[in-house]
Amino acid sequence: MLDILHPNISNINKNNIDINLSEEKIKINIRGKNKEFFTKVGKILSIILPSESNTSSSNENYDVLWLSPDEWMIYFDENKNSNIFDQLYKDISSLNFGSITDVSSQLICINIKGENIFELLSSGSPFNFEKFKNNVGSSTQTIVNHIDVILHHKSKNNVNLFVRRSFSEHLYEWLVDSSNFV
Amino acid sequence: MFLINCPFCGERDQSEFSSGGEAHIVRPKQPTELSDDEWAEYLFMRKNIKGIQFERWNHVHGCRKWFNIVRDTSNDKILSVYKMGEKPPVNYK
Amino acid sequence: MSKLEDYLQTEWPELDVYLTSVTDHYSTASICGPNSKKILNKLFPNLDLSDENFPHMSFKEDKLENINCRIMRISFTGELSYEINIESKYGHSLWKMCIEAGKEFNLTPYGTETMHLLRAEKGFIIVGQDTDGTMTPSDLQMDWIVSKKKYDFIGKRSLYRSDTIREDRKQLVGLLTDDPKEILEEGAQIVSDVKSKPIDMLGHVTSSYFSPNLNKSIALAVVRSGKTMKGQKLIIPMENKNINVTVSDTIFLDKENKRLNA
Ligand SMILES: [Zn+2]
Repeated sequence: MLDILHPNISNINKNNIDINLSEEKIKINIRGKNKEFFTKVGKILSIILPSESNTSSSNENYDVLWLSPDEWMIYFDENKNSNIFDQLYKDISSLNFGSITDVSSQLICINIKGENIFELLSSGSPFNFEKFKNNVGSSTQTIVNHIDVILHHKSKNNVNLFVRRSFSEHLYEWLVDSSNFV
Repeated sequence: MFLINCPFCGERDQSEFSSGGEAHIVRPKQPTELSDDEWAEYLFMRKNIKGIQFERWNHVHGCRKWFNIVRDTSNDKILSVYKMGEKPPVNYK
Repeated sequence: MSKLEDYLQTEWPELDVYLTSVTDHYSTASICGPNSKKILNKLFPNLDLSDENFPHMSFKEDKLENINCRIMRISFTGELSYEINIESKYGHSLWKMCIEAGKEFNLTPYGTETMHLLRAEKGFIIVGQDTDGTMTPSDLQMDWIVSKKKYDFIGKRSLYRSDTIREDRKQLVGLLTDDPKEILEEGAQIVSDVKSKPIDMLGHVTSSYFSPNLNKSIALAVVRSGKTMKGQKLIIPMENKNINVTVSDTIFLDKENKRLNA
């Protein structure tokens, strides 16, 4: 009875740009500074949190994006490891080693791929994509068409864009429209 | 428009930041002990000088961290960037 | 949240606190009116909705099917009300379930204009419409909200600056037009004397509606020394006429809060 309503975002392909809604992704915001925090996260996810700005770490299950010196975002497919939030929460938040917040419904993941995607993003963003587009694994927070986004260069010419749900359809419309001009 | 070197994310466009006014104004530890004039001095009085100014900025559309800069307001040149809690560079005093 | 982040990073960095926005992670449905308890009971049959267990201004957690919800008993309309928070991807489903459950009670969706009218009848302010950055809780006759026990909090010292304790500050009042059909313009100026020049301006109308519940026009306004002016006649000078009003209490309907506990 409780069905899910996704944003009205359909697959669009034009000018070597492919825009898609990535529906079933879990996103978890994690915050922490102390040794216990890093140990617990490393143990639960089998991943070392990226400490360098504008980078990410990935393994076969998870992608982890650097957001700030004490903040990261983990994302992964819903059908994998569905209880990982509970585990992180129990071992970190509950014990005051840091802060674990489920932001799965807060952020919509729009996948953008193709040769012209960085031209498209650049046309509405103050961010300099030169270094970003040459480095798979780059991540950043910036503005696109005046809207806050998190970007992850997942593989060559393939970017996952995360945007607040309430802005997602508007940003999607802008992306589709602006694809005409690259 | 100018570029700001966020101490955490690196060089970014000014439009990713918001300005928080004059830096190094410390909130009084015991506000209730202060006279009206002393409280007003903390709350309202800002230098707003033409020339070298110490300012707070926030990378609001990026890492959300606050930091300080030394900026020459007459030509928008940023002379120094340093983290919250760090001492201001002495050569611009 | 950016103000909190500012204080956390610059004034109290030693605090073991993290701030993460979840604004878009949740959707909220608000159910208002004397039958809202019955509708809520259909949605959450295991939740004890008695006043003892679930009084006004408290919240509970429960599940809708297997999805976690937070349910608040809180009211901006003055009616018995509940607000249900659910993960936003289920927001539309929650809405449909509320409508379905409410059918037998003639439940109907209402818009923000209705909400604004209902809250004005109760004298509930909208921050930014009935107030601006200069107004204190005392100006709003809301002194009850300020802690008298805390040694310090942000803004405390400013509450007793010589300027903030002046008796003749602009204060929130209600206005009733002498002609109950006359609806005031929001933003209209308020004076007591139109003959002396220049005309002394006392304040302005902040909210104004025709109340179908009371069958008359009601308004909220900020007026210099308004707290002490109840019953006094004032004038709203308009382009073609002067409108006569009387200063009233800010609560126009259900002063005893009977509806909150209907
Ligand atoms: Zn930054």
